[in-house]
Formats: sequence, structure tokens, C-alpha cells
Amino acid sequence: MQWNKSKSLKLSKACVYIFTATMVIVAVGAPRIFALLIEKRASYLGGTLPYFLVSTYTACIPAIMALYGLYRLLDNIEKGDVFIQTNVKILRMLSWACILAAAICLVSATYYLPFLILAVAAGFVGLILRVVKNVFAQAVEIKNDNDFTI
Amino acid sequence: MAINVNIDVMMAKRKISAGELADKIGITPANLSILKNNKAKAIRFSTLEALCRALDCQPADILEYIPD
Repeated sequence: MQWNKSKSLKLSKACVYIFTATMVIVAVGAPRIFALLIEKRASYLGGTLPYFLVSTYTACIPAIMALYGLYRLLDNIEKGDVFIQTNVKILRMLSWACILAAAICLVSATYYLPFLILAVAAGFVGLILRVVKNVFAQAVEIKNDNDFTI
Repeated sequence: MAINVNIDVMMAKRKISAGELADKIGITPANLSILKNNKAKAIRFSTLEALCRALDCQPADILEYIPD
């Protein structure tokens, strides 16, 4: 099978859909999943179920933001609009979504320490996205200059 | 912008249409319009050379510096 740009974009979009579906399943099944997890694997976490649920549903906000941003970004790339100001704004939003998720995980680490790993990972991804956003902003400027060089 | 492009003045002097000039210098009419309307951010030497050849003029006849 010949791999090309169009197929790569389709795969990325499919991944966004899969993640969206996963998020919906986790959001709907969260009470059962966490109750089962606490009961079977971590009885020492008894009584923390409401905290897990608050963390999960709060984290859904940056997750929706990020998935929506990714969908729009891929849509713009598909249309051929890559180096545009809108994409810079989307990347900024993605970066903030990651930082927000990191903050939520950091707070959640107070009752379940492994959340700290997620907080560090999300914060680092947010930082990388911020740098990518800065590079993109510069690229948009260079493209504008290039487009208006006759 | 401090640099003013006066192509239309030279075009009127040489009695040449925008389409004809764009064709002669090998750029699109849309890009010529950008140049004419002072929307361009830069001009390539090759374009300037083609313009001067097509309009039989010097760069100074096309470009003018206006202090801010």
C-alpha cells in the first residue's frame, strides 16, 4: 500500500475520532470503572471515588478542547491552509488545554500520587506545543512575506 | 510604506495594459495588482529587471522613496 499525505491525514483524523470515542466511554463509565478499580485493586483508596470522578470530569474539559482543536487543525491542513493565523491560535489553545490538564492532574496527585506522572507528561507536552506554536507563528510571518514578494 | 511603486505612471506613459505587462514580465495579473497597489512587501531583482526591460525605464522611474 502506497503511503501518502492524504492517508496520513485520514489516519490522524481517525485517531482523533478514536480518542473522542474513548473519552466518551470513559466519561460515561467512570463511576463503574473507578468503583471496580478501587474495590478490586486498591482498597486503600476507599472513599476517594468522588475525587476520582471530579478529576475525570474536570479533565474532560481540556480533553474536549484538545480534540476539537486537533480536529480543526487537521481540517485546515486537509484544505491546504497550513501556515495561517487560525492554526497558531489552535496550537495556543492546545497548549493551554495541556497545561490545564497538567494542573488538574497536579491537584489530583494530592489524593493519588501517580497522577503526578500524568501532570508532568501533560505539562511537558503543553510546553512542546507552545514552542511549536511559536515556530508556527514565525512560519506564518515568513509565508506572508513570501506571498507578498513579487 | 516609505517605498512607493509608480508602475501605473510608467504604464500610462508606455501605453501598456496591466494584462500585457504581466504577460511580458512573466507574473500573474494578481501579483502585478499587488505591486501596483503598494501591497507588496518586497520585489525580486529579476522582477524589477523584467519591469525595467518591459517599460524601458530605470528602477528609479518605478520606485520612489517617501520619508515617513
